[in-house]
Amino acid sequence: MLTTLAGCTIEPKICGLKPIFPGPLYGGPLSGSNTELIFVPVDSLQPTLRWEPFVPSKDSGIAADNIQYDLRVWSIANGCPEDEVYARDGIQKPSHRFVSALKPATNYFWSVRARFTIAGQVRVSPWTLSQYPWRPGPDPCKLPTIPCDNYLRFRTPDPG
Amino acid sequence: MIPLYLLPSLILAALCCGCGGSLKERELPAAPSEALRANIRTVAIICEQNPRLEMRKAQDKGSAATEGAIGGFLSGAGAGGHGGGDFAGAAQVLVWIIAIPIGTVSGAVEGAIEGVPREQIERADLELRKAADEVDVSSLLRGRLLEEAQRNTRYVLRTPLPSSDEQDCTARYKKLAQEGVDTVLEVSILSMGLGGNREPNPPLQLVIRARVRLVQAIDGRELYAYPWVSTYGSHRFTEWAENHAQPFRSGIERVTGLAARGIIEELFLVHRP
Repeated sequence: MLTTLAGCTIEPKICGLKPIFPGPLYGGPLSGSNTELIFVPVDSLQPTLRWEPFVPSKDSGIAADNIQYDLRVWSIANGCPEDEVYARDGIQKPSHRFVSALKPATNYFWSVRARFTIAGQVRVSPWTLSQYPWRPGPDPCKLPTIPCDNYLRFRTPDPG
Repeated sequence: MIPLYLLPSLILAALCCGCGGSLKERELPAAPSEALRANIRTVAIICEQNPRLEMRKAQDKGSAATEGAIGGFLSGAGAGGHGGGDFAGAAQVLVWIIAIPIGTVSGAVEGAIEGVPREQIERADLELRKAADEVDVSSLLRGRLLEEAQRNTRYVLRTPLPSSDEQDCTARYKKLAQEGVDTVLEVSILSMGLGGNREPNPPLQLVIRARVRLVQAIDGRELYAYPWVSTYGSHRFTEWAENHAQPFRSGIERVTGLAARGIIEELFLVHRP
């Protein structure tokens, strides 16, 4: 009964680099079909986002000593990304603390990808997204753009 | 045999699939291999086709009320009817007597409330069409593709002048091959406009659809093909048209930029281990 009232959450399947903080959460009321990704609270207006490092396989031809990361954060309008409010390319570690403050009590989408070289040419991994929700149709992980419902997300703390 | 009580739900589902699939997309094919990328030296970027405008609009109050009434009727007709036994038929009729009128009336009222006055829709439609007419989308996208390719690849890039005669692609690309081009990136914009679910006043995304092909210039062999879809923003129909369609105009700039970045990255940068 308690579980039904509180709803339940699961960790969704992730395509791309797996986020560590804020971790992805997917859920909603048990009795309803309105399950969605949850805006996970972060503790600061300049939070430190973390994700699992990109580890290339030995025979991939990827130069393992020069792995970097690109990060994007978007504002949201009607459940879809609007403006890119924060972007960093070439991050050296699998984490990043925002150098400027985000707006308080605001929902954001975010994503990350690896940047590396193969035979001296720059290459990138696909942007990270949640495979859930998977509406009828193609696999969200195999689309050219991330569907609105599949963006990783977080919420900044209230002011004060 | 389909149970009678499921029929309204099936009709409703069929109606929704037919009208709500404005953002249909296909799964990406495998990106060009590293071997193929390594063999590319000179790329010609061709993007000439002017898109047709596809506009999902808000519904005016009358249409929204009618459609709401039909939806309400069907969901009322879908109510109840899961039991069995001697009294199941009679009970079903009783449920319908109550649920159908309530569903129909509440659907109509909801539609009428959410619908937009007809004159507002017409004014917004005029502004949006005018804005779309004033932008040369293919030229904009061609410029963005060139910028993104310059920034992200080491290929020599060419943007041949638009073809004035009716010569077929193979002949045209063969001519380009004689001028040193080995690969043609052909982007044909099929449509541009607002897309979203069929509701009285839904949030709509700016959508650009393009057929993307990578072609070997010398013999016209297709190396990659994909019907690309890029989207930007999400606003109500009349919001896109506010301030002489400024959100729509800047949205076109944004969505072409996103499409160009996505296409160039997928073809030449993305590596899926």
